[in-house]
Amino acid sequence: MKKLSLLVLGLAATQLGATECGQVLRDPGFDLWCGDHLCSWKVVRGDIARAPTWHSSDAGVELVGEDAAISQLAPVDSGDGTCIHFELVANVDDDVEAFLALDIYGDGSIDRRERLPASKWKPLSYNLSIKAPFDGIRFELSKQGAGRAVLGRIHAETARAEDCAGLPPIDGGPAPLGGSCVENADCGSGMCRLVPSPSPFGVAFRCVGCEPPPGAPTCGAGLVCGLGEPRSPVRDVPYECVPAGGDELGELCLTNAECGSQVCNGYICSTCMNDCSGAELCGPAWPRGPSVCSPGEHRRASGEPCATDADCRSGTCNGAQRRTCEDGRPCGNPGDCPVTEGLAPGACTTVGVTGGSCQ
Amino acid sequence: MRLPLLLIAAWLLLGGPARADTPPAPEIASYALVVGSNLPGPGQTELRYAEDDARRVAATLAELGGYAPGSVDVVVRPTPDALRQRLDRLTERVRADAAAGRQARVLFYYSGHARSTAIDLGPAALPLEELRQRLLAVPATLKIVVLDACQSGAFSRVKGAAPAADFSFNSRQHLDASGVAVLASSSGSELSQESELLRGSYFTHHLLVGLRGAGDANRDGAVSVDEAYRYAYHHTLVATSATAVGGQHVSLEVELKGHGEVPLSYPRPATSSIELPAAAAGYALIQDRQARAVVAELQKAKGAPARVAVAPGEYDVLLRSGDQVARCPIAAGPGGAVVDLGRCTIEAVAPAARKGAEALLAPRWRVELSGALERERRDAYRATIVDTFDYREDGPLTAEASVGVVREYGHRGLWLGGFASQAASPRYIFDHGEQTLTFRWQTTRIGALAQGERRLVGKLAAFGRAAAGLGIGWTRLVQDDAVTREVFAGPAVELGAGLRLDNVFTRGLGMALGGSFEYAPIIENELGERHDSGGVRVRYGLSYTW
Repeated sequence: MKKLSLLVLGLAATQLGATECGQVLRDPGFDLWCGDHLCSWKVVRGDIARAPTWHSSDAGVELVGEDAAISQLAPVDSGDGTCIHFELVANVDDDVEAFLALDIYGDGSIDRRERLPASKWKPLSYNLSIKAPFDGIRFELSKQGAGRAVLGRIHAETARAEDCAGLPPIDGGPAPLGGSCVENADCGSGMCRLVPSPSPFGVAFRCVGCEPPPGAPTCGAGLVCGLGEPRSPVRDVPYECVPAGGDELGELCLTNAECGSQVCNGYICSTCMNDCSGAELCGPAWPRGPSVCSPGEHRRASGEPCATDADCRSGTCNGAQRRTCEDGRPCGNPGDCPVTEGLAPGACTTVGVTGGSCQ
Repeated sequence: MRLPLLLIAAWLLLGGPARADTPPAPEIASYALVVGSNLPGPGQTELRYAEDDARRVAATLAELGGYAPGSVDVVVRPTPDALRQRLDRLTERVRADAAAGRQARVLFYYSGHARSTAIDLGPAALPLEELRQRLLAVPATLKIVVLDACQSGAFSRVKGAAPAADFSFNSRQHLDASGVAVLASSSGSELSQESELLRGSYFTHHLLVGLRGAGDANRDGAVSVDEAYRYAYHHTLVATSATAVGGQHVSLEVELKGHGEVPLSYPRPATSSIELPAAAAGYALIQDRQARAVVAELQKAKGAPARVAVAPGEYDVLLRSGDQVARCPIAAGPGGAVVDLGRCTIEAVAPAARKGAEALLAPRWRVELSGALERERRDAYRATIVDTFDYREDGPLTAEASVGVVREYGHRGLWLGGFASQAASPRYIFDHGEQTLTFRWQTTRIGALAQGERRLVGKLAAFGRAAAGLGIGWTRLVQDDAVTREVFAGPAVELGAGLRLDNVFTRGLGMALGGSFEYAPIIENELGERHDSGGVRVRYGLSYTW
């Protein structure tokens, strides 16, 4: 009965959406500029510039050069829907070849390319059927040729399934690690398992690279099945074979065997598991952080493991800075984090030190 | 507009008065039926002073015409039946006098609208033929008929259309066989005008001034039909020759078998008078201080005094010579008063107070306020914003307010002036969570305005308007805290029509309802699309006329 419940929860988790009321793309008006670059769109090739649309201050983006492209990884998944309605307003010269490309999973392989016809600010629209399950679509807009191509509005939203009736679904191929799945065949790894997940249900079917414990070991010598490095903000942190004892204090883990400290507490490599000596208490150094004894009380002597400067008597914890997303995954910038409200990336904040030791 | 069919027809069937400067002997009964009606007939404009003219004529006749108290019957705004009853009563009274062996003279005065076939008494009319028959049926020895009438169709007749037979012509034809003398205006096809300054018609005003003594050319103390005619002819023509409507010729045709002059008034024995001394010279104006109305105006030459009969009261005598005006307040009591030139104050002529008919044609002014609340015009400009670039229209309505100031020209329903209006579009919002763009525009139009209007019935008038001018468009796009403003300019025209109800609640206040089509392609976007911020609009308005 418990297994059945987990199955239902896991299936339900695959149906959870990640869009903003059906809206798929951030900054559909190309209005958010961070200096010379769009804040929400990544320049893939060439260059871009602000360009007026119907009004000088309602700017669009011009793809500059013979070959230019921008892209945005949208967090839409099959839980939001498998029919995407896509609209675009553009001013595309006759001597320009412009394309809308879809990269399902955002793994770098283009799964569908649509030619944008020459247009003088006329709306173009497409309905796209996507084969479920999938996690995230990278939309890429590109142009080739010397003429001008100015994009004014881009609008993508999930639509009703009947709007895509009869359309051949776009198959993004096998799901990568951390992607949603229903059965083994959905995964490139051939393994779809119900695993702990940041989803509200706590578990979800995800493609894994190894058999999570307590299953039969599937990793080679010196490796254990644990939590690897995040691949994409639109997918979960993958289960894969990682070096045994290779994770430092503060890194994600699934079992004790992954951690150099041999203590995995709350999916984080820690130094204690309610086993601190004397009057010291074991607690997280920061929310969703590693558990250490007497966190923040300046008790650790020189050379002892630490997660923050406040753990050390010296007041200095040497080590690499630890930056994490809200779900605890490591990040270098907000673009590495899953989106939050309004399709904006979650915060990537410095929380402490990874693998630190007191000075 | 008035078409004065001045018809003074005098039928002198029996002997005239014994002396010129005394009223008829008591054995000669005198009756006057004085009728005034401001009411317009179909398609005519309501008059302003016809009824006041009738009252003034009645007062002058009672004061200076030798009419006994109760013998001057004033009728204002009668229906045709009411006028028939008054004429029947008049006939009965004269018939009774005749039966008693007394001769009678009768004066009939009418001021109001008329056409070639009838006099208009509001929505109903009394046929002229019937009026003639009834007047002929009055068995008086002397009948004087004065018509100061309006006829809306006269305008086209002046411009060359064949005139229909007018009252005087028909009367003359009909009465010639009886040897009737006819005193009539020269043409029934000339326009007549009312004067705001005189607060009456030019003709009746000058006729009354003449009757008060200014027309007494031979200084015998009485003003005859001939003298009244000469005075009214000259002054009416001078006063109207420079107006927009044009000169107005009063004429006299008289055939009085075997009789001398026919006196119409006896200013010498009047209860009061104002005398301008022999030394006074220039253009003299006598104004009733209380009524603020001009009671007399005359050209005074040096060397002989001039005497004007007036009702007792306080007056201002203005005597203009060159660029100076002598203002002489005077109280005319029983026995009259003489202007003391030494007590007059001297004033310079105000630049705007030019003497002459042009100045007398005081124009009316009107200020109009109107508003409109209409759906924004659907065009390519709006479609680009809403359909192509996904802006949401925050409310479908465009609000517009307009003010206009116009001046009437020629009292012919033509108003010219200027206008200014301001229209504001609804807001257009593009909201995608992290950023909001809000766009709206306003249009200011200024220009010239021409209006034509026609009185339909009572207080209700129809109007049409045309306006043209400059349109200035202001757009405002707000992106977060950044505001981008743009200004455009272009032509703006408007055509409209509607109905207005005048004198609502208080005199001068009007309410209007109409529609207009505005064309103002002013605002332009980066794609070269222009927005016509006009369109068809329903307008609601208030006006004030003074």
